[in-house]
Amino acid sequence: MSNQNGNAYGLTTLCPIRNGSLSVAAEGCPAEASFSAVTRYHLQNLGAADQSPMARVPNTYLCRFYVLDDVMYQGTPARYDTLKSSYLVFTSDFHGKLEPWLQGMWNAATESVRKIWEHCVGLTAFMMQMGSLNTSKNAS
Amino acid sequence: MSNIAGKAYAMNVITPIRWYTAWINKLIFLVTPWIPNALNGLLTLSLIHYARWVIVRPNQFPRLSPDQPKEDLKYTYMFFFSNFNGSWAQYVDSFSSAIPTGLDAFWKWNVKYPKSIPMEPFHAYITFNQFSTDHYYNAYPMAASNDVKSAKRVRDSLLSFDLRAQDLSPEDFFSQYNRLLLELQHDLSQMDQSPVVSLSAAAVAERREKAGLAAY
Repeated sequence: MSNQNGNAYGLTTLCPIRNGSLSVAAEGCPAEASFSAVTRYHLQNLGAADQSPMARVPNTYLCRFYVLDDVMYQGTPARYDTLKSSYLVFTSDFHGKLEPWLQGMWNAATESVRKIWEHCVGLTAFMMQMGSLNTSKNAS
Repeated sequence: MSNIAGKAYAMNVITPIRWYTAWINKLIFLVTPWIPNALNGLLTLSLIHYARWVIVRPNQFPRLSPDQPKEDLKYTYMFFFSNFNGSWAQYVDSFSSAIPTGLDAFWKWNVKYPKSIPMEPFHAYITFNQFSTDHYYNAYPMAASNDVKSAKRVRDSLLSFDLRAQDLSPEDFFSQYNRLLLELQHDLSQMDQSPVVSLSAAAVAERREKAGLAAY
């Protein structure tokens, strides 16, 4: 089992989205829209094809985003399961190694990355880490 | 929101596995690439750009803050992601027809999996557990997987020809170049839209036309 197949890397991420909602209307969404709904709205309004922010990310073959609100109940006699958080599911198939690709995504689409992951748990820590990676690369 | 980008379709399926059988699924994925000819049916289909299966245990759902509620799941979950050419129905039917035993091996331990044959219950199972994509990006929307394979054949053949042609006379070069073109005739073409394969693909094309966008 591997994320790497030849030169291609398959990245799969699950990022929890904060529970809660907007306090005021913003970003095209009404007040009290949940953060998962806002994230989904933003994704659905990203540009398509060469207008997609991911078009600027080097070495990307294919990628996708979707918001996972809950898992599906299969019906009796299966047991009922439910998620306590929504998740931003992001997958990408790209050429090369993970860290350079992530750095390329950050460098090429910083504002879009901030916007897409804006309502995810732990974003601030992530951005600080990406910022420090960028700093260390610039210094080397 | 679209599952379609050019000729590629993004399928997302999430299915539960009993935690005590999840290790069997992991073992199957681990050994399958090493079994001779196990993936031949899949490769022959030639529909797929990339596909992956990811098994996530309940305690592997990320919890990044004490403020985030801890998941309390009863099942492990198998995430399936596929990028393929053609319509949903063509894809699912192709798998069911060409590699039914392979599908059953990968999904057998998933809760209430109906087996890949007969097709209708299998269609219903996939439809029920499929999640729509909110944003899908394809770097080469007009390139089907066969176009990519053709491009690779053309590149490899040209590089080989370049080495052989270094010391040829003009007449021999002309003759061998024509032979090369003959050998590559099935791989040389312009990429363009495929015929409409589904109502979804037709809707995407119509929406783009109304918006004044190029087909892709």
